[in-house]
Amino acid sequence: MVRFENVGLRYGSGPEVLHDVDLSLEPGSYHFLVGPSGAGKSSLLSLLYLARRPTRGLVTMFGSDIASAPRASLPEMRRRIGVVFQDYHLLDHLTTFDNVALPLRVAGVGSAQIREHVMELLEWVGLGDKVDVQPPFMSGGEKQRVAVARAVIGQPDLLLADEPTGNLDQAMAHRLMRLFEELNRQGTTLLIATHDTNLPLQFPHPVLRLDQGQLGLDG
Amino acid sequence: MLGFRRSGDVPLSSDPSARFVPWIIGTMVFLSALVLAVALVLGNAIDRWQLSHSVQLTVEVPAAAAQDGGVEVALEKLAALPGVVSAARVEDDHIAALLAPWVGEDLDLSTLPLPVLIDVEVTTPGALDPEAAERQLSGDVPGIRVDDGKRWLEPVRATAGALQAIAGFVLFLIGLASIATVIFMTRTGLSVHRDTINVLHQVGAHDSYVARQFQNQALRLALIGGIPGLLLAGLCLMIVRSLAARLEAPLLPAVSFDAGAWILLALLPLAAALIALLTARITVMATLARMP
Repeated sequence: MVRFENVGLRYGSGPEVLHDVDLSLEPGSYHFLVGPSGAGKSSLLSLLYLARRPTRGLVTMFGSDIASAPRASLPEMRRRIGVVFQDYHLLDHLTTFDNVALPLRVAGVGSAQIREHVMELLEWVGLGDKVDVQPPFMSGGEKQRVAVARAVIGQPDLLLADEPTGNLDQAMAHRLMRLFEELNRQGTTLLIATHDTNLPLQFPHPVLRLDQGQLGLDG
Repeated sequence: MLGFRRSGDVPLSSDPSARFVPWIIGTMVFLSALVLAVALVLGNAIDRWQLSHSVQLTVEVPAAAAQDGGVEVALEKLAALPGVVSAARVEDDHIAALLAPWVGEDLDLSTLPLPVLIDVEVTTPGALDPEAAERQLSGDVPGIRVDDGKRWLEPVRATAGALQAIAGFVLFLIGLASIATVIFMTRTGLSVHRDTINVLHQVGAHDSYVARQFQNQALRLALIGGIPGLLLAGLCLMIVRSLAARLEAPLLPAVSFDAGAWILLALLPLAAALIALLTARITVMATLARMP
Protein backbone atom coordinates (compact mmCIF):
# COMPACT_ATOMS: atom_id res chain seq x y z
CA MET A 1 0.00 0.00 0.00
CA VAL A 2 2.77 2.44 0.98
CA ARG A 3 6.41 2.11 0.02
CA PHE A 4 9.22 4.61 0.60
CA GLU A 5 12.69 3.97 -0.81
CA ASN A 6 15.62 6.29 0.01
CA VAL A 7 13.22 9.17 0.46
CA GLY A 8 14.56 12.61 1.27
CA LEU A 9 12.66 15.81 1.93
CA ARG A 10 13.80 19.38 2.26
CA TYR A 11 11.85 22.64 2.40
CA GLY A 12 13.04 25.05 -0.26
CA SER A 13 16.81 25.31 -0.14
CA GLY A 14 16.98 24.41 3.57
CA PRO A 15 18.59 21.27 5.04
CA GLU A 16 17.06 17.84 4.55
CA VAL A 17 14.51 17.06 7.24
CA LEU A 18 14.13 13.44 6.18
CA HIS A 19 17.08 11.35 4.97
CA ASP A 20 17.05 8.02 3.21
CA VAL A 21 13.72 6.93 4.67
CA ASP A 22 12.71 3.38 3.80
CA LEU A 23 9.20 2.44 4.83
CA SER A 24 6.68 -0.18 3.88
CA LEU A 25 3.11 -0.27 5.15
CA GLU A 26 1.30 -3.40 4.07
CA PRO A 27 -2.49 -3.36 3.72
CA GLY A 28 -4.12 -3.93 7.12
CA SER A 29 -0.95 -3.16 9.09
CA TYR A 30 -0.88 -1.03 12.24
CA HIS A 31 2.18 0.96 13.31
CA PHE A 32 3.02 3.58 15.86
CA LEU A 33 5.42 6.35 14.87
CA VAL A 34 7.42 7.79 17.74
CA GLY A 35 10.25 10.25 18.02
CA PRO A 36 11.24 13.46 19.78
CA SER A 37 9.87 16.84 18.72
CA GLY A 38 11.54 18.05 15.54
CA ALA A 39 12.49 14.52 14.49
CA GLY A 40 10.47 14.87 11.29
CA LYS A 41 7.23 13.06 12.21
CA SER A 42 5.01 15.79 10.76
CA SER A 43 7.12 15.93 7.61
CA LEU A 44 6.87 12.17 7.16
CA LEU A 45 3.12 12.33 7.71
CA SER A 46 2.81 15.19 5.17
CA LEU A 47 4.40 12.92 2.55
CA LEU A 48 2.00 10.16 3.51
CA TYR A 49 -1.12 12.32 3.23
CA LEU A 50 0.15 13.73 -0.07
CA ALA A 51 0.52 17.35 0.99
CA ARG A 52 4.08 17.22 -0.34
CA ARG A 53 6.12 15.30 -2.83
CA PRO A 54 9.54 13.94 -1.90
CA THR A 55 12.66 15.86 -2.86
CA ARG A 56 14.31 12.59 -3.76
CA GLY A 57 13.68 8.88 -3.58
CA LEU A 58 10.67 6.81 -4.49
CA VAL A 59 7.25 7.07 -2.83
CA THR A 60 4.68 4.58 -4.03
CA MET A 61 1.13 4.76 -2.69
CA PHE A 62 -1.80 2.63 -3.83
CA GLY A 63 0.42 1.45 -6.68
CA SER A 64 1.26 4.94 -8.02
CA ASP A 65 4.61 6.68 -8.04
CA ILE A 66 3.82 9.92 -6.23
CA ALA A 67 6.71 11.92 -7.69
CA SER A 68 5.42 11.48 -11.22
CA ALA A 69 1.67 11.12 -10.53
CA PRO A 70 -0.36 13.81 -12.30
CA ARG A 71 -1.82 16.38 -9.93
CA ALA A 72 -5.36 15.52 -11.04
CA SER A 73 -4.95 11.98 -9.70
CA LEU A 74 -4.08 13.07 -6.15
CA PRO A 75 -7.62 13.91 -4.91
CA GLU A 76 -8.81 10.35 -5.55
CA MET A 77 -5.82 9.01 -3.61
CA ARG A 78 -6.38 11.50 -0.77
CA ARG A 79 -9.94 10.24 -0.42
CA ARG A 80 -8.45 6.89 0.52
CA ILE A 81 -6.47 8.52 3.33
CA GLY A 82 -7.95 9.78 6.59
CA VAL A 83 -5.89 12.20 8.65
CA VAL A 84 -6.27 13.32 12.26
CA PHE A 85 -4.15 16.41 12.69
CA GLN A 86 -2.62 17.38 15.99
CA ASP A 87 -4.19 20.86 15.71
CA TYR A 88 -7.40 19.41 14.21
CA HIS A 89 -7.53 21.54 10.99
CA LEU A 90 -11.28 22.01 11.41
CA LEU A 91 -13.11 24.73 9.49
CA ASP A 92 -14.26 27.21 12.11
CA HIS A 93 -17.18 28.58 10.07
CA LEU A 94 -18.76 25.14 9.64
CA THR A 95 -20.78 23.23 12.21
CA THR A 96 -19.67 19.91 13.62
CA PHE A 97 -22.01 18.19 11.20
CA ASP A 98 -20.60 19.99 8.16
CA ASN A 99 -17.00 19.48 9.24
CA VAL A 100 -17.52 15.75 9.53
CA ALA A 101 -19.54 15.63 6.32
CA LEU A 102 -16.83 17.41 4.31
CA PRO A 103 -15.04 14.32 2.89
CA LEU A 104 -18.34 12.82 1.78
CA ARG A 105 -19.54 16.08 0.27
CA VAL A 106 -16.42 16.61 -1.85
CA ALA A 107 -16.75 12.99 -2.99
CA GLY A 108 -20.28 13.74 -4.22
CA VAL A 109 -22.17 11.49 -1.78
CA GLY A 110 -25.92 12.19 -1.58
CA SER A 111 -27.20 14.32 1.28
CA ALA A 112 -29.47 11.61 2.77
CA GLN A 113 -26.58 9.17 2.96
CA ILE A 114 -24.31 11.87 4.40
CA ARG A 115 -26.87 12.66 7.10
CA GLU A 116 -27.25 9.04 8.08
CA HIS A 117 -23.51 8.30 8.28
CA VAL A 118 -22.53 11.55 9.98
CA MET A 119 -25.23 11.34 12.64
CA GLU A 120 -24.34 7.74 13.40
CA LEU A 121 -20.66 8.56 13.77
CA LEU A 122 -21.28 11.70 15.84
CA GLU A 123 -23.41 9.68 18.23
CA TRP A 124 -20.63 7.13 18.49
CA VAL A 125 -17.96 9.72 19.37
CA GLY A 126 -20.33 11.31 21.88
CA LEU A 127 -21.08 14.47 19.94
CA GLY A 128 -24.69 13.77 19.07
CA ASP A 129 -25.74 16.89 20.93
CA LYS A 130 -23.12 19.11 19.27
CA VAL A 131 -24.04 18.80 15.60
CA ASP A 132 -24.87 22.49 15.27
CA VAL A 133 -21.90 23.79 17.24
CA GLN A 134 -18.93 25.40 15.53
CA PRO A 135 -15.35 24.54 16.57
CA PRO A 136 -14.60 27.87 18.29
CA PHE A 137 -17.30 26.98 20.83
CA MET A 138 -15.97 23.49 21.59
CA SER A 139 -13.37 22.15 24.01
CA GLY A 140 -10.08 20.67 22.79
CA GLY A 141 -11.33 17.16 23.41
CA GLU A 142 -14.51 17.79 21.44
CA LYS A 143 -12.55 19.22 18.52
CA GLN A 144 -10.31 16.17 18.61
CA ARG A 145 -13.33 13.90 18.33
CA VAL A 146 -14.70 15.94 15.41
CA ALA A 147 -11.31 15.61 13.72
CA VAL A 148 -11.32 11.85 14.26
CA ALA A 149 -14.89 11.55 12.97
CA ARG A 150 -13.97 13.51 9.83
CA ALA A 151 -10.92 11.29 9.27
CA VAL A 152 -12.85 8.02 9.45
CA ILE A 153 -16.20 9.03 7.88
CA GLY A 154 -15.02 8.02 4.41
CA GLN A 155 -13.82 4.59 5.61
CA PRO A 156 -10.28 5.25 4.41
CA ASP A 157 -7.82 2.54 3.40
CA LEU A 158 -5.05 4.37 5.26
CA LEU A 159 -5.58 6.29 8.49
CA LEU A 160 -2.87 8.64 9.75
CA ALA A 161 -3.18 10.25 13.16
CA ASP A 162 -0.88 12.81 14.73
CA GLU A 163 -1.21 12.68 18.53
CA PRO A 164 -4.87 11.62 18.31
CA THR A 165 -5.28 11.13 22.07
CA GLY A 166 -3.38 14.24 23.13
CA ASN A 167 -6.44 16.23 24.17
CA LEU A 168 -8.71 13.42 25.32
CA ASP A 169 -9.41 12.13 28.80
CA GLN A 170 -8.34 8.59 29.53
CA ALA A 171 -11.76 7.03 28.93
CA MET A 172 -12.28 8.78 25.60
CA ALA A 173 -8.68 8.05 24.55
CA HIS A 174 -9.21 4.38 25.26
CA ARG A 175 -12.49 4.39 23.35
CA LEU A 176 -10.79 6.08 20.41
CA MET A 177 -7.96 3.56 20.37
CA ARG A 178 -10.55 0.78 20.37
CA LEU A 179 -12.17 2.44 17.35
CA PHE A 180 -8.78 2.39 15.63
CA GLU A 181 -8.38 -1.29 16.53
CA GLU A 182 -11.81 -2.01 15.07
CA LEU A 183 -11.00 -0.08 11.87
CA ASN A 184 -7.75 -2.04 11.61
CA ARG A 185 -9.61 -5.31 12.03
CA GLN A 186 -11.82 -4.26 9.14
CA GLY A 187 -8.74 -3.78 6.97
CA THR A 188 -7.75 -0.14 7.45
CA THR A 189 -4.02 0.46 7.54
CA LEU A 190 -3.02 2.66 10.48
CA LEU A 191 -0.06 4.82 11.39
CA ILE A 192 -0.35 6.65 14.69
CA ALA A 193 2.24 9.29 15.55
CA THR A 194 2.44 9.75 19.31
CA HIS A 195 4.53 10.95 22.23
CA ASP A 196 2.58 8.69 24.58
CA THR A 197 4.91 5.80 25.35
CA ASN A 198 2.07 3.90 27.03
CA LEU A 199 0.03 3.53 23.85
CA PRO A 200 2.36 0.98 22.21
CA LEU A 201 2.35 -0.92 25.49
CA GLN A 202 -1.45 -0.99 25.73
CA PHE A 203 -1.95 -1.75 22.06
CA PRO A 204 0.97 -3.86 20.94
CA HIS A 205 1.82 -2.99 17.35
CA PRO A 206 5.17 -2.38 15.62
CA VAL A 207 6.81 0.93 16.49
CA LEU A 208 8.65 3.04 13.94
CA ARG A 209 11.13 5.45 15.50
CA LEU A 210 12.10 8.64 13.74
CA ASP A 211 15.17 10.46 14.96
CA GLN A 212 16.89 13.38 13.24
CA GLY A 213 15.09 12.63 10.01
CA GLN A 214 16.03 8.94 9.91
CA LEU A 215 13.57 6.12 10.38
CA GLY A 216 14.13 2.83 12.19
CA LEU A 217 12.03 0.00 13.57
CA ASP A 218 11.96 -0.40 17.38
CA GLY A 219 12.58 -3.77 18.93
CA MET B 1 -32.41 21.65 13.12
CA LEU B 2 -29.75 18.99 13.32
CA GLY B 3 -26.87 20.84 11.76
CA PHE B 4 -28.06 20.62 8.20
CA ARG B 5 -27.68 24.30 7.45
CA ARG B 6 -25.14 24.65 4.68
CA SER B 7 -22.78 27.54 4.25
CA GLY B 8 -20.03 27.61 1.65
CA ASP B 9 -17.02 25.46 2.45
CA VAL B 10 -14.84 28.53 1.91
CA PRO B 11 -16.27 31.46 3.95
CA LEU B 12 -15.97 34.01 1.14
CA SER B 13 -19.09 35.96 2.06
CA SER B 14 -17.30 37.43 5.09
CA ASP B 15 -14.40 38.77 2.99
CA PRO B 16 -13.96 42.54 2.66
CA SER B 17 -14.12 42.09 -1.11
CA ALA B 18 -17.70 40.87 -0.74
CA ARG B 19 -18.58 44.43 0.25
CA PHE B 20 -16.76 46.49 -2.37
CA VAL B 21 -16.95 44.28 -5.48
CA PRO B 22 -20.71 44.74 -6.04
CA TRP B 23 -20.19 48.51 -6.02
CA ILE B 24 -17.41 48.24 -8.58
CA ILE B 25 -19.29 45.83 -10.82
CA GLY B 26 -22.43 47.95 -10.47
CA THR B 27 -20.52 51.04 -11.58
CA MET B 28 -18.99 49.12 -14.50
CA VAL B 29 -22.40 47.89 -15.65
CA PHE B 30 -23.84 51.41 -15.28
CA LEU B 31 -21.04 52.90 -17.41
CA SER B 32 -21.20 50.04 -19.91
CA ALA B 33 -24.95 50.55 -20.36
CA LEU B 34 -24.51 54.26 -21.04
CA VAL B 35 -21.63 53.72 -23.46
CA LEU B 36 -23.49 50.91 -25.22
CA ALA B 37 -26.55 53.14 -25.48
CA VAL B 38 -24.45 55.87 -27.11
CA ALA B 39 -23.03 53.34 -29.56
CA LEU B 40 -26.51 52.07 -30.41
CA VAL B 41 -27.90 55.59 -30.90
CA LEU B 42 -24.99 56.46 -33.19
CA GLY B 43 -25.48 53.23 -35.10
CA ASN B 44 -29.16 54.04 -35.60
CA ALA B 45 -28.31 57.55 -36.73
CA ILE B 46 -25.76 56.33 -39.26
CA ASP B 47 -28.31 53.90 -40.69
CA ARG B 48 -31.01 56.59 -40.79
CA TRP B 49 -28.80 59.13 -42.55
CA GLN B 50 -27.78 56.53 -45.06
CA LEU B 51 -31.35 55.48 -45.82
CA SER B 52 -33.01 58.90 -45.93
CA HIS B 53 -30.54 60.36 -48.38
CA SER B 54 -29.98 57.37 -50.52
CA VAL B 55 -32.82 57.94 -53.02
CA GLN B 56 -33.27 61.69 -52.61
CA LEU B 57 -31.32 64.58 -54.09
CA THR B 58 -31.72 68.32 -53.89
CA VAL B 59 -31.20 70.58 -56.90
CA GLU B 60 -30.51 74.24 -56.28
CA VAL B 61 -31.26 76.77 -59.04
CA PRO B 62 -29.67 80.20 -58.34
CA ALA B 63 -32.10 83.12 -58.05
CA ALA B 64 -30.76 84.77 -61.22
CA ALA B 65 -31.17 81.60 -63.31
CA ALA B 66 -34.64 81.02 -61.82
CA GLN B 67 -35.77 84.41 -63.05
CA ASP B 68 -34.66 83.42 -66.59
CA GLY B 69 -36.85 80.30 -66.63
CA GLY B 70 -34.10 78.06 -65.34
CA VAL B 71 -36.45 76.15 -63.01
CA GLU B 72 -38.68 74.91 -65.83
CA VAL B 73 -35.65 73.92 -67.90
CA ALA B 74 -34.10 72.12 -64.97
CA LEU B 75 -37.34 70.24 -64.21
CA GLU B 76 -37.67 69.20 -67.83
CA LYS B 77 -34.04 68.04 -68.10
CA LEU B 78 -34.13 66.25 -64.76
CA ALA B 79 -37.29 64.33 -65.67
CA ALA B 80 -35.53 63.07 -68.77
CA LEU B 81 -32.49 61.75 -66.92
CA PRO B 82 -32.31 57.94 -66.46
CA GLY B 83 -33.03 56.76 -62.91
CA VAL B 84 -35.11 59.78 -61.95
CA VAL B 85 -38.55 58.92 -60.56
CA SER B 86 -39.76 62.44 -59.91
CA ALA B 87 -38.56 66.04 -59.78
CA ALA B 88 -40.69 68.67 -58.06
CA ARG B 89 -40.14 72.29 -57.11
CA VAL B 90 -40.18 72.95 -53.36
CA GLU B 91 -43.03 75.41 -52.94
CA ASP B 92 -42.41 78.86 -51.49
CA ASP B 93 -44.82 78.14 -48.64
CA HIS B 94 -42.70 75.19 -47.57
CA ILE B 95 -39.49 77.21 -47.79
CA ALA B 96 -41.14 80.02 -45.82
CA ALA B 97 -42.13 77.54 -43.14
CA LEU B 98 -38.57 76.19 -43.01
CA LEU B 99 -37.12 79.71 -42.71
CA ALA B 100 -39.74 81.05 -40.31
CA PRO B 101 -37.79 80.21 -37.14
CA TRP B 102 -34.93 82.47 -38.34
CA VAL B 103 -36.57 85.22 -40.40
CA GLY B 104 -40.11 85.38 -38.99
CA GLU B 105 -43.44 84.53 -40.56
CA ASP B 106 -44.34 87.88 -42.11
CA LEU B 107 -41.43 88.19 -44.49
CA ASP B 108 -42.17 88.29 -48.22
CA LEU B 109 -39.75 85.78 -49.75
CA SER B 110 -39.97 87.42 -53.18
CA THR B 111 -37.90 90.29 -51.78
CA LEU B 112 -34.99 87.94 -51.10
CA PRO B 113 -32.67 86.51 -53.80
CA LEU B 114 -33.27 82.94 -52.63
CA PRO B 115 -32.37 80.01 -54.86
CA VAL B 116 -35.20 77.71 -55.92
CA LEU B 117 -35.00 74.15 -54.63
CA ILE B 118 -36.08 71.04 -56.51
CA ASP B 119 -36.63 67.70 -54.76
CA VAL B 120 -35.51 64.78 -56.90
CA GLU B 121 -36.29 61.17 -56.18
CA VAL B 122 -34.32 58.42 -57.91
CA THR B 123 -35.11 54.73 -58.33
CA THR B 124 -32.23 53.34 -56.27
CA PRO B 125 -29.35 54.77 -54.26
CA GLY B 126 -26.64 55.90 -56.68
CA ALA B 127 -28.98 55.78 -59.70
CA LEU B 128 -28.01 59.37 -60.47
CA ASP B 129 -24.45 60.70 -60.30
CA PRO B 130 -24.90 64.23 -58.88
CA GLU B 131 -21.68 65.55 -60.36
CA ALA B 132 -22.45 64.22 -63.84
CA ALA B 133 -26.00 65.58 -63.65
CA GLU B 134 -24.69 68.96 -62.51
CA ARG B 135 -22.29 69.12 -65.48
CA GLN B 136 -25.07 68.13 -67.83
CA LEU B 137 -27.51 70.75 -66.53
CA SER B 138 -25.11 73.64 -66.01
CA GLY B 139 -25.01 74.36 -69.77
CA ASP B 140 -28.70 75.25 -69.72
CA VAL B 141 -28.94 76.53 -66.14
CA PRO B 142 -25.78 78.37 -65.09
CA GLY B 143 -24.79 77.92 -61.44
CA ILE B 144 -27.11 74.96 -60.87
CA ARG B 145 -26.08 72.57 -58.05
CA VAL B 146 -27.09 68.93 -57.61
CA ASP B 147 -26.55 67.66 -54.07
CA ASP B 148 -27.18 64.17 -52.72
CA GLY B 149 -26.14 65.14 -49.18
CA LYS B 150 -22.86 63.25 -49.33
CA ARG B 151 -20.81 66.43 -49.26
CA TRP B 152 -21.84 67.28 -45.73
CA LEU B 153 -23.10 63.89 -44.58
CA GLU B 154 -19.88 61.96 -45.13
CA PRO B 155 -17.87 63.86 -42.48
CA VAL B 156 -20.81 63.57 -40.06
CA ARG B 157 -21.04 59.84 -40.65
CA ALA B 158 -17.28 59.47 -40.31
CA THR B 159 -17.38 61.32 -36.99
CA ALA B 160 -20.27 59.19 -35.76
CA GLY B 161 -18.40 56.05 -36.82
CA ALA B 162 -15.28 57.18 -34.94
CA LEU B 163 -17.35 57.90 -31.84
CA GLN B 164 -18.87 54.45 -32.15
CA ALA B 165 -15.41 52.89 -32.33
CA ILE B 166 -14.33 54.87 -29.26
CA ALA B 167 -17.44 53.65 -27.43
CA GLY B 168 -16.48 50.09 -28.30
CA PHE B 169 -12.97 50.67 -26.99
CA VAL B 170 -14.35 52.16 -23.75
CA LEU B 171 -16.53 49.05 -23.35
CA PHE B 172 -13.43 46.91 -23.84
CA LEU B 173 -11.56 48.89 -21.17
CA ILE B 174 -14.48 48.56 -18.76
CA GLY B 175 -14.44 44.82 -19.38
CA LEU B 176 -10.70 44.68 -18.66
CA ALA B 177 -11.13 46.69 -15.46
CA SER B 178 -13.90 44.33 -14.33
CA ILE B 179 -11.72 41.30 -15.04
CA ALA B 180 -8.82 42.87 -13.10
CA THR B 181 -11.14 43.52 -10.15
CA VAL B 182 -12.33 39.92 -10.07
CA ILE B 183 -8.76 38.59 -10.39
CA PHE B 184 -7.69 40.77 -7.45
CA MET B 185 -10.69 39.66 -5.38
CA THR B 186 -10.07 36.00 -6.17
CA ARG B 187 -6.35 36.10 -5.45
CA THR B 188 -7.01 37.85 -2.16
CA GLY B 189 -9.57 35.18 -1.29
CA LEU B 190 -7.14 32.40 -2.18
CA SER B 191 -4.52 33.94 0.06
CA VAL B 192 -6.85 34.62 2.99
CA HIS B 193 -8.41 31.15 2.85
CA ARG B 194 -5.27 29.15 2.13
CA ASP B 195 -5.70 26.96 5.24
CA THR B 196 -9.31 26.16 4.36
CA ILE B 197 -8.31 25.25 0.82
CA ASN B 198 -5.57 22.98 2.19
CA VAL B 199 -8.18 21.17 4.29
CA LEU B 200 -10.46 20.79 1.26
CA HIS B 201 -7.60 19.35 -0.75
CA GLN B 202 -6.71 17.08 2.15
CA VAL B 203 -10.17 15.53 2.25
CA GLY B 204 -10.00 14.88 -1.49
CA ALA B 205 -11.45 17.96 -3.15
CA HIS B 206 -10.49 18.53 -6.77
CA ASP B 207 -9.36 22.01 -7.81
CA SER B 208 -12.67 22.41 -9.62
CA TYR B 209 -14.53 21.93 -6.32
CA VAL B 210 -12.55 24.79 -4.78
CA ALA B 211 -12.97 26.87 -7.94
CA ARG B 212 -16.73 26.38 -7.75
CA GLN B 213 -16.79 28.10 -4.36
CA PHE B 214 -15.05 31.16 -5.80
CA GLN B 215 -16.92 31.29 -9.10
CA ASN B 216 -20.30 31.08 -7.35
CA GLN B 217 -19.31 33.94 -5.07
CA ALA B 218 -18.10 36.03 -8.05
CA LEU B 219 -21.36 35.32 -9.91
CA ARG B 220 -23.43 36.33 -6.88
CA LEU B 221 -21.50 39.56 -6.26
CA ALA B 222 -21.61 40.53 -9.94
CA LEU B 223 -25.38 40.10 -10.05
CA ILE B 224 -25.85 41.96 -6.76
CA GLY B 225 -23.95 44.92 -8.24
CA GLY B 226 -24.86 44.57 -11.90
CA ILE B 227 -28.64 44.57 -11.70
CA PRO B 228 -28.93 47.87 -9.75
CA GLY B 229 -26.27 49.33 -12.06
CA LEU B 230 -28.39 48.47 -15.08
CA LEU B 231 -31.59 49.80 -13.49
CA LEU B 232 -29.87 53.11 -12.71
CA ALA B 233 -28.55 53.34 -16.27
CA GLY B 234 -32.04 52.58 -17.61
CA LEU B 235 -33.45 55.42 -15.53
CA CYS B 236 -30.79 57.81 -16.87
CA LEU B 237 -31.53 56.76 -20.45
CA MET B 238 -35.26 57.33 -19.95
CA ILE B 239 -34.54 60.84 -18.68
CA VAL B 240 -32.22 61.59 -21.61
CA ARG B 241 -34.79 60.22 -24.06
CA SER B 242 -37.49 62.36 -22.53
CA LEU B 243 -35.31 65.49 -22.75
CA ALA B 244 -34.18 64.69 -26.31
CA ALA B 245 -37.77 64.26 -27.46
CA ARG B 246 -38.36 67.96 -26.74
CA LEU B 247 -35.51 69.08 -29.00
CA GLU B 248 -36.44 70.23 -32.48
CA ALA B 249 -33.27 69.15 -34.20
CA PRO B 250 -34.09 66.65 -36.94
CA LEU B 251 -30.46 65.93 -37.76
CA LEU B 252 -29.51 64.98 -34.20
CA PRO B 253 -29.58 61.24 -33.56
CA ALA B 254 -32.88 60.06 -32.12
CA VAL B 255 -32.51 58.65 -28.59
CA SER B 256 -34.70 55.63 -29.07
CA PHE B 257 -34.12 51.92 -28.78
CA ASP B 258 -35.84 49.00 -30.39
CA ALA B 259 -36.55 45.73 -28.56
CA GLY B 260 -33.22 44.27 -29.65
CA ALA B 261 -31.32 47.20 -28.14
CA TRP B 262 -33.18 46.90 -24.84
CA ILE B 263 -32.44 43.17 -24.75
CA LEU B 264 -28.77 43.91 -25.43
CA LEU B 265 -28.72 46.39 -22.54
CA ALA B 266 -30.55 43.95 -20.27
CA LEU B 267 -27.92 41.30 -20.99
CA LEU B 268 -25.13 43.49 -19.57
CA PRO B 269 -25.43 42.32 -15.93
CA LEU B 270 -25.59 38.73 -17.13
CA ALA B 271 -22.51 39.30 -19.27
CA ALA B 272 -20.75 40.88 -16.28
CA ALA B 273 -21.75 37.93 -14.10
CA LEU B 274 -20.54 35.44 -16.70
CA ILE B 275 -17.22 37.27 -17.09
CA ALA B 276 -16.82 37.34 -13.28
CA LEU B 277 -17.60 33.63 -13.02
CA LEU B 278 -15.15 32.62 -15.74
CA THR B 279 -12.43 34.96 -14.46
CA ALA B 280 -12.74 33.60 -10.92
CA ARG B 281 -12.66 30.02 -12.15
CA ILE B 282 -9.64 30.52 -14.41
CA THR B 283 -7.78 32.43 -11.67
CA VAL B 284 -8.40 29.70 -9.08
CA MET B 285 -7.53 26.85 -11.42
CA ALA B 286 -4.33 28.57 -12.57
CA THR B 287 -3.26 29.36 -9.00
CA LEU B 288 -4.01 25.91 -7.59
CA ALA B 289 -2.24 24.23 -10.49
CA ARG B 290 1.01 25.60 -9.07
CA MET B 291 0.45 23.80 -5.75
CA PRO B 292 2.06 20.39 -5.04
